[in-house]
Amino acid sequence: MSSAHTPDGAHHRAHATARNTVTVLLFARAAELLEADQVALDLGPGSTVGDVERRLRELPGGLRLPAGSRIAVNQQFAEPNQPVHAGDEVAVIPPVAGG
Amino acid sequence: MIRIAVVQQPVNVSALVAEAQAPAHGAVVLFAGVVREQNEGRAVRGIEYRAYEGMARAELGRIAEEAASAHAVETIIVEHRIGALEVGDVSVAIVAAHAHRQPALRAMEQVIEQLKARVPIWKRELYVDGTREWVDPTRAARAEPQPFAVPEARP
Repeated sequence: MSSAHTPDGAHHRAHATARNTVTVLLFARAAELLEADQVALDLGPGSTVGDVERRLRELPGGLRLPAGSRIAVNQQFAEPNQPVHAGDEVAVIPPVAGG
Repeated sequence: MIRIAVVQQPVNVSALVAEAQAPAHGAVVLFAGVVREQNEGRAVRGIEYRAYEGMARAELGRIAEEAASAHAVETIIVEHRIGALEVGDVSVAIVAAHAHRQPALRAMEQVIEQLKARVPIWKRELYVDGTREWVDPTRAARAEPQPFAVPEARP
């Protein structure tokens, strides 16, 4: 998805001096453990879902985030190598329990 | 016709069945998930459902489209209720209709199984003893408690 935003190396990075701030939505146990409904992360240019996961684990309470939590980007589950851009809707999805 | 909803008010299952009925449909299948009075030996007073509503609707839509396509079923309705529910309340209803029963049954089963695996809705059980706890259906199967560490295989 969002192939229009795929960073193409040098050209992209040369203009990426501005910070890449991403708001991460938190739900259920993730919200309780981090004591917030959302957190803002300053990510470097070219950051990925894996970087978001690392930064979240570094937050107070982050290591206690539920095992099996996944990251969604723009309302779809995302793989660790997926790029994250400023303005993306990023969310922590703890193990779901609908039904 | 595929229709998805995340609702606050009670789910009217007979209205959903009526909505799916049509002269061409020889089979209308209903699954209703209902709040149960106990879980893992603990007496349950009620369940609080929370959702990431936008993604829940998006994921339910994808799931319904997949099931419709896999079983050549054109009519699928899914309503999931959120908020505070009591024992006996319907939390989710899935209706699938087809000329014959097998495609309708299979489509319904695929939707509920995928819903439980993929839709960002959470429940916190309120127990009769006054305590409450988020439900994690995957916890028992996991050995190493590391957030994000193990990407899970999804069907």
